[in-house]
Amino acid sequence: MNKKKEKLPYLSAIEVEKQFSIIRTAMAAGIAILFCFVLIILSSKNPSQDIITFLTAPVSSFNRFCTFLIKLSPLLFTSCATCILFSADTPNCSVETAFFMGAISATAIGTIQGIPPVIHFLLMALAGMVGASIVLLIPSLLNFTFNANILVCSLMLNYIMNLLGNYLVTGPMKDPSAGWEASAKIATSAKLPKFINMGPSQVHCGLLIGLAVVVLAWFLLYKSKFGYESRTVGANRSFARFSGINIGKVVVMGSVVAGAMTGLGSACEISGYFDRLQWNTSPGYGWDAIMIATLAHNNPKFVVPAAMFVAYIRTSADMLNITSVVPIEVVEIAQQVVIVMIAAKGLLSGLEKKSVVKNAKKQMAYVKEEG
Amino acid sequence: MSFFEAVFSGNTLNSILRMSTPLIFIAMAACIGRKASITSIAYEGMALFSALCGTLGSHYTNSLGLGALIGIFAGMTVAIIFAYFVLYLDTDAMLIGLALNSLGNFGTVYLLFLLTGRKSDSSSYSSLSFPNIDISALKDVPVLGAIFNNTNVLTYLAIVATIVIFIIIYKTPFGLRLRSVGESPDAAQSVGINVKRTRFIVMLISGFLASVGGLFMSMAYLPYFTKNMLSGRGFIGLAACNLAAGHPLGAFACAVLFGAADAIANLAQTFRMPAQFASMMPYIVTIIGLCVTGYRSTHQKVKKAKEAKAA
Repeated sequence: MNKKKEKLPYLSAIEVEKQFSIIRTAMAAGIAILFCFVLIILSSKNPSQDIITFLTAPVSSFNRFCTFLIKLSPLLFTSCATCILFSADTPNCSVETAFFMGAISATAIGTIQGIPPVIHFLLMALAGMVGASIVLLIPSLLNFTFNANILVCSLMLNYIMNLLGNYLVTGPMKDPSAGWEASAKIATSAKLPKFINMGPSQVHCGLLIGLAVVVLAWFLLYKSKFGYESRTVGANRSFARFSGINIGKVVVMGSVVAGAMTGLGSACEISGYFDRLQWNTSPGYGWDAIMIATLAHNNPKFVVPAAMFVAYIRTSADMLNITSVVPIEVVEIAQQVVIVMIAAKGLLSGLEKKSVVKNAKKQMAYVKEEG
Repeated sequence: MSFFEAVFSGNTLNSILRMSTPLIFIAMAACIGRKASITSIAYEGMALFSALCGTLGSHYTNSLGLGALIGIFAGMTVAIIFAYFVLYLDTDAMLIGLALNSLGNFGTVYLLFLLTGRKSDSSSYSSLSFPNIDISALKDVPVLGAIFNNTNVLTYLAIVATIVIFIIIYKTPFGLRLRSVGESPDAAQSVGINVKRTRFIVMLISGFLASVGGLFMSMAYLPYFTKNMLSGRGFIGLAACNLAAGHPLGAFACAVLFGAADAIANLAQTFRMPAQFASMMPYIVTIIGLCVTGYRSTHQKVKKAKEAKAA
């Protein structure tokens, strides 16, 4: 058994499946970029210039690269949360407004003056976690106790929470001295330090915390009992029930963990990047997370590259929005195309079957030869 | 006039019917889909595309009928994409539904920008609307008169659509086929029913109904298209269908209930309630509806299991 595995001249069916999943993901990303090109050409006054901007904007200067990193940071948190929720087959889409609510509760703590520095940020993070967890728990608990459809429930909850958040930000939390619709200033004691701080190019430590959360999420999902149980529930609910897994506990735990991650992300975003909370509607990181989780096949291991892809095209789109007339929706459309392409399991299935057959023949020939 | 007096006036009943119209169309689309056991949530995307293309179509062709046709064509295209991917490319219906809804949200904004140069609405483009109709015979009848006074032609059509869908599902050979496909696709296949083709046709009908719902939004409810104008009505319609377990007449009643929440929310705004809380009403009612549906379905399962044990 300990003998080093020699390289076989054929691939097993599982390996072929893996190979095709990579091909399909690459194809989806490629088609999405092609889609972007077409949409840019259709709406642009200067297509070649705009396409170059689109492809190279985030790496064209250090400052823009920092913007790219800042965009990446909240996506890591929300994507990991979505991976955890989706791998237990609970299509809870409330991460979107959980992030918003987390930001609001974190701001409520963050604006208090006179708390010692480190403790202040920890309290703020805790508030964010609690706020976001409550939002994510609502659909899960309704699903658990009343068997309500979790997907539609969470989408409806998004509307409700968006309206509630809008009320809070434009009403009770509004700072009249700000001059526009924003909360009071976050106290300096609650601010996250910046790990890149060179004039206008600043990146806050939220990114590092985000990377740690990715590792934690991977560990939780693939190396812990909770993760094993929740993936079993996701793969086959009946099997999980008959093998004695407490499904309700797994689902509720998953929501709490996902909520904590989301809330931590919103606290980092607020204390690291913003001076005041100024979103009057939820910022859309939850929707991006659905796409990233799909791209990463719900495995936190692939969240970083997938999130980088999304952050990259988002930074490009922001740049285009400033330098040209191309609408920012181009990126959103391309993202939906990626989701559809990856979700379409039947795409290339003919080729995949052929490849499986070819490898099986190779295997038979090999076995015969070896005796 | 107090809030409660306002709620029970004939005007409110009229506006309930008006707010329910898109919900009824989408609920019917969901009902026929559900009976063939297609789990589609893409109705919002279909309706959004049809709303945009309908109103701009009527602007460019200067004809109500042609505009409506263009809108319905656009909405049905989304339905065809959905059906093709789910039925022939083995795609997760939930994921593609979410994707198509977002595509409806952002794709319509992109199209709107491409065609009109604006991103928020098409109000600067004059377009045609479906007319309101008075039934003069009912004018002097106390309650009915107020309800059916100045009611849009599409609202009448929604009532007709409910009856037609009921007849299609329960009284035609095609309805029998689609229900058998929904209840047991394998059994249906074994007696020679083409399951995929039946579901494809059902999706086309679904797409048509959802598109008409979309047309109502931009060509009757408002005279122009605004960004994200369905605001969750695709899902509320779906919830109405679920609440009635897919029965068209029950779904009609539920859609009217959700429409009432919408209408009362509009009314509450004029009575100094913060606009945000008033707007939450239809969504809260929908979530309650989802809980009732889910609770009832598990309850029935338990009951059936007990009966089976007793027998």
